[in-house]
Amino acid sequence: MINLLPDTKNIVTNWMRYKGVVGVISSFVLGGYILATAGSAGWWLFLTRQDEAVKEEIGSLTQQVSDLKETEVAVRTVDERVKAVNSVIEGRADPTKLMTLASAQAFEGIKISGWAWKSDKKGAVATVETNDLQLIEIYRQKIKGSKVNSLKRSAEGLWIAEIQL
Amino acid sequence: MDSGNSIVKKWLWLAYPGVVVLLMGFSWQWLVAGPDQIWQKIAVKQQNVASQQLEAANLRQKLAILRSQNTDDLKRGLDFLELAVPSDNKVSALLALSRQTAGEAVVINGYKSAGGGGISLNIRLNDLVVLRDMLTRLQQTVPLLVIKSVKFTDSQADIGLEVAWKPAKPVQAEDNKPLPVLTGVVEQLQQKLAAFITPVVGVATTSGETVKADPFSE
Repeated sequence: MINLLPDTKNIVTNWMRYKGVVGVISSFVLGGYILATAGSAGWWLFLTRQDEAVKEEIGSLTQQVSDLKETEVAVRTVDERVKAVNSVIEGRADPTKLMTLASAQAFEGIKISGWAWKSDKKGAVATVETNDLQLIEIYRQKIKGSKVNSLKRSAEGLWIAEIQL
Repeated sequence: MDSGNSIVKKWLWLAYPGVVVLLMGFSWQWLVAGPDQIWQKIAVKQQNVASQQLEAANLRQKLAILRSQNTDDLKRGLDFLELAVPSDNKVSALLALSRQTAGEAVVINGYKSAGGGGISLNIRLNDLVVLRDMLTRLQQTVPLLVIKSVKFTDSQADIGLEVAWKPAKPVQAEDNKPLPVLTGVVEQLQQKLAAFITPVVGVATTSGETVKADPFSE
């Protein structure tokens, strides 16, 4: 005869083998859960108190800073003027650099008779006079990057060159 | 009946893990996934607290700087800086300084007004070196001068000059903006400009409309 009823005794016996493991795992999970919940709640409370404390501190500090408003305006005014002075010192073009260079390179037979310089333009134009045309080229070669813009001869026989520095 | 009770007793141990699973399922909604999302709220709150702590630290620093400032020193510093770069165009200083820097080898032929509130100074001198020395002196004056142009020809030179001036900007206290650090900055500028030439006459103002916020006024 075939028995179609479930073998309850055997099923229970099979499951009973996991009882210990399941119990231990459940305890670990429950422990972790309690720790996580308690930790989260504790952290939330801690943050809430910190939030209140820091808000109160910001309010107090803002009031104290506001009481010193005139000093702050004075500091910022001085800072603005410091920036203005520094920008002038650092930003203004120096017309003497090229003059020093041009004078230092001049030699016997070469005379710098003219000069043109503008702060918004790069370089300067020196007018050079000499009796000897070759001296103009020698002088030009002594100043790197310079070029002769124009060359003419005066009625007195002087060579006059405009050199771009 | 006894057999039924016995089976229930035998399966009862599964109630414990079952309760744990149910608890976890409900808590998942509350802690992580659901509309409350307490962990997300904690993260947001933590960020808020951190940014507020930073704000408080900035305010503490600002307050310490403000308390360390002496308004008399600031006023003296500002007076000096206003001398170096005035908030209005002091043309008389320009005239006085050009006379003072000319030296013996230079003869001033005259002045004429140039664009932008400056002047064009016409001088007579022998050579470029004399001109260079005068320009060097012109760059070492208080108020600071700006040389705009130089034209030298036939022992005559025209120098385009301006006083470096900048109108005062109205300044306000700003709660959320950190304070600029001024420690030693004014003193450094004072040292740098200590040897500069200052005009021997009073410096009159010619420019009209400038905003001058006096932070020391009562």
